[in-house]
Amino acid sequence: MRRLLTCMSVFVVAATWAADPEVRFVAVDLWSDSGDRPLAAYQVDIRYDARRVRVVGVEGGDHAAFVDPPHYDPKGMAGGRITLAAFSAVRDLPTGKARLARLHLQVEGKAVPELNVELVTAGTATGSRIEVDLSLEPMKGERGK
Amino acid sequence: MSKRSQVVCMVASGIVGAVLVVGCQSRQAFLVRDVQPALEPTAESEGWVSTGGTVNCVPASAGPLPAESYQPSLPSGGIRLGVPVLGDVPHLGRLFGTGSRARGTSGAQRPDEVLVVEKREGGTSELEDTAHMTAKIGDEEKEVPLPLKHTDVKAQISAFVATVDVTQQYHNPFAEKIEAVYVFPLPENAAVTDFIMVIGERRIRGIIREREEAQRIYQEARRQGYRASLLTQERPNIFTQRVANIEPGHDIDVQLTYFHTLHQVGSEYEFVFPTVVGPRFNPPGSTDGVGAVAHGADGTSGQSTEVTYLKPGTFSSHDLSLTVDIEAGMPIHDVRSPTHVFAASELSPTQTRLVLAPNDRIPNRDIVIRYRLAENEPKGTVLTHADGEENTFALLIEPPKSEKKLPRAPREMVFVVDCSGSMNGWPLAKAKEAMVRCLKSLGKDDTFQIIRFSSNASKLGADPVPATAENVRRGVRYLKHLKGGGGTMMIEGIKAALDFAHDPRRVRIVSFMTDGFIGNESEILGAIQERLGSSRIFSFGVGSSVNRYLLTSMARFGQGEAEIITLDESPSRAVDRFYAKAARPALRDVRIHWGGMDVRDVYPRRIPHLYVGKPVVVVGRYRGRLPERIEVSGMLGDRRVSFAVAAGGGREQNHPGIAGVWARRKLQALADEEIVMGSNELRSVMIKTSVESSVLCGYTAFVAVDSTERTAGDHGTTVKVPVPVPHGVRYETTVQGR
Repeated sequence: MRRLLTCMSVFVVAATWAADPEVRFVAVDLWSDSGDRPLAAYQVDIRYDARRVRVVGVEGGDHAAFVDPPHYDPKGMAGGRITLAAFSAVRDLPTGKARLARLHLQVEGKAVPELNVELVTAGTATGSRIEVDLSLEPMKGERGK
Repeated sequence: MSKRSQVVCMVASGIVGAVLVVGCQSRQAFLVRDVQPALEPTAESEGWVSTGGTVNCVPASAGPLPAESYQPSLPSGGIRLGVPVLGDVPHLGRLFGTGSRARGTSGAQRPDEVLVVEKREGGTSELEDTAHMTAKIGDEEKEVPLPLKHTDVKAQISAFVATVDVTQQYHNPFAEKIEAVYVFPLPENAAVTDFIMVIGERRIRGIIREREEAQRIYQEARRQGYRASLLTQERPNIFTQRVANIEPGHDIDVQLTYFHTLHQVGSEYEFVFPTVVGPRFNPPGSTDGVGAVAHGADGTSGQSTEVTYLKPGTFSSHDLSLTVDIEAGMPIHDVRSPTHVFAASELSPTQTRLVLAPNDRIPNRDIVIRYRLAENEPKGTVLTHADGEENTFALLIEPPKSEKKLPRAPREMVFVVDCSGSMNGWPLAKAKEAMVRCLKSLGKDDTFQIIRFSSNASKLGADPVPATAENVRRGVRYLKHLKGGGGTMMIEGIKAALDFAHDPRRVRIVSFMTDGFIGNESEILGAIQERLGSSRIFSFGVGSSVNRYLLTSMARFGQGEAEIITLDESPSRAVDRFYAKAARPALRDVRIHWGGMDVRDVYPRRIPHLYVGKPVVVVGRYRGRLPERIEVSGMLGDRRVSFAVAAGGGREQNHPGIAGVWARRKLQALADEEIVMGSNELRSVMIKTSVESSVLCGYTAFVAVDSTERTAGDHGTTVKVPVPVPHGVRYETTVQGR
């Protein structure tokens, strides 16, 4: 099936990690920007180096439409890919920039890991496919480190 | 409690004919009139029988209640209460209730009931010395602070599949940070598919991983001070929940979702939610069993899994709420629970909601709900779930009722009764009652043997004897003298039951009567597989929290069926069902003719013997469309018979849980193969199946870490959640480190 959109984001882990232990836990946020189109559903693939990065939790975003943790497809995880998907039936859907989800990761080693996110599909409440910009960013406001 | 309540109570044979008064701390007392035995007592002082009566509420009193204040009432549709009588019944030395809302003798909560027994005319002689009334109010008990506050269960039943959401609410009542560890049961066929850790408003979905990897992640997160949780499966029906770094005064919830198929007998469906793991016996030298130790004696069992039990005189505040929504798609009848008090709301003729009564929330026994669907109405026999190009189905197969007319074959009945310490008291009395009924139901062409086992095994005689009236009386006398005590060396019972020469003229049926409280299930199942031959095994689980995994697996390996007898009901129905199946030849060598359908991965791989009134659920994957009907055939005696089963023909009902049910059945089949092989050769296949389907198994685990915040200090103290011993089980005979 032809993908209407493919957006890719490279997430570079903050250099401050180098001072942390060999095994670290970090949170990464998945952000979307759907412009003026309300986002009702999405599916994304996130790729990582499975030798050093493990997904240890999936959390929802901060918009009410996507506050529940998205579902994930575990089939590709051993190979370093996690597919996230969610939809929302609420009336107030996010437009513009919104945090869709948060990944909790365990990272081994001091080297900086990379994560790539790719849009599989996104749509409105009426089922229309829409363009969405995606990005992965370190969680802001991390505490206790 | 309702002022007008119908009481179904368990009464010692020694007080049959007396009047029971049940009171509680709410300053109400209940009078049970007209206590009549539903069955003939079968065993001297331990001969419990089920009975019923009507009640009326009168003021409670520690002293004699005036007889004239008892006003009998005849309520209709009242609530059901289970009223157990424990202790030295004939002498009324320790007589207080631990009923449905009971506070067990283990001290799960303060014993809030009193039982008063009054002799009435015709009462038995054991009560002659008790004047007319005796009351005992439970001693003050000590509450044990626990990190598990509450368990909330919400179940939705659609067709023959239940979707169950369980929320465990953890709270740290201590002054320092803790890790909570809770060993708990789920149904033996539960497909756990989802796991969410809840911290305040935040919900973190756990990830399923290979078990050792998940454990390493959890331990590292715990060590570094992150809040984390880990769910592992110790047995198909025993799970361990760990929650790390709960700060003082803080809460963390864990939510699980699972699917399972319901037990079905004829038109009756049964939903079961187990609430406590019974204390298991582990053979000497074993280390991978399930230990049972006293609260405060943690880590002393030497077993890989360990359950800690509340001591007598202590209780916890952990309680349970449960709501069950039944959406049957056809009229629902006779909704009832033999174990608990429920408020039922009929939302429509095809929809019913059941809510567990607020005063019946102590997690010390299985919660059982039964209901019937209208007879002679077309039943949905197939459920499907579309998953991309490949679909999953669950098909219900039941032989036509006309097969009931088939002749019965002579039987060689071997009754094997568990006389270990955990069976002491009620469970053994129930088992005896069931066996007496079995013995009296034998035909003149049958033979029988009785084998008892605890730490060792012995039997009625050298060989099975004909079921003559004299031999049956001898068997009943033998049963009456059996006592509970000692270990549960079930392997000795297996050997004694299967290792003697088979009478070729008869069908050998081995009937185990046990609570299944052992930790070496694989060894037992392997021994059955090795020794079974042409025998069939019908297992009877006896007790309030039996090990249903063992009982159903024994029946599965033994090409028979399992029946569960709770302590709150007469065994007569279960025994009669057993005889209905055991007395008639089953449909053997069952084959399904798919009619050109593209089907694969069908489970069970070997379709079990089919019995009238006992449907079998077959699951599998398929492409394309299901046909209108599927042909099923099997050997009945020496002839092959066939019948058609409705398969949907494209009109089947979609159910999202079917993919999980399929994966769970596949994992069960693989686990069974490992037991037969005596190795873990299929480990990698099981991990792949488990992870890809997101259904937990013994080789995988769910882990969730909150990486957003590291809590202060080290990982704190590990606190195991102690549980009450199951209702009817004696702490003194089952728990180590007392």
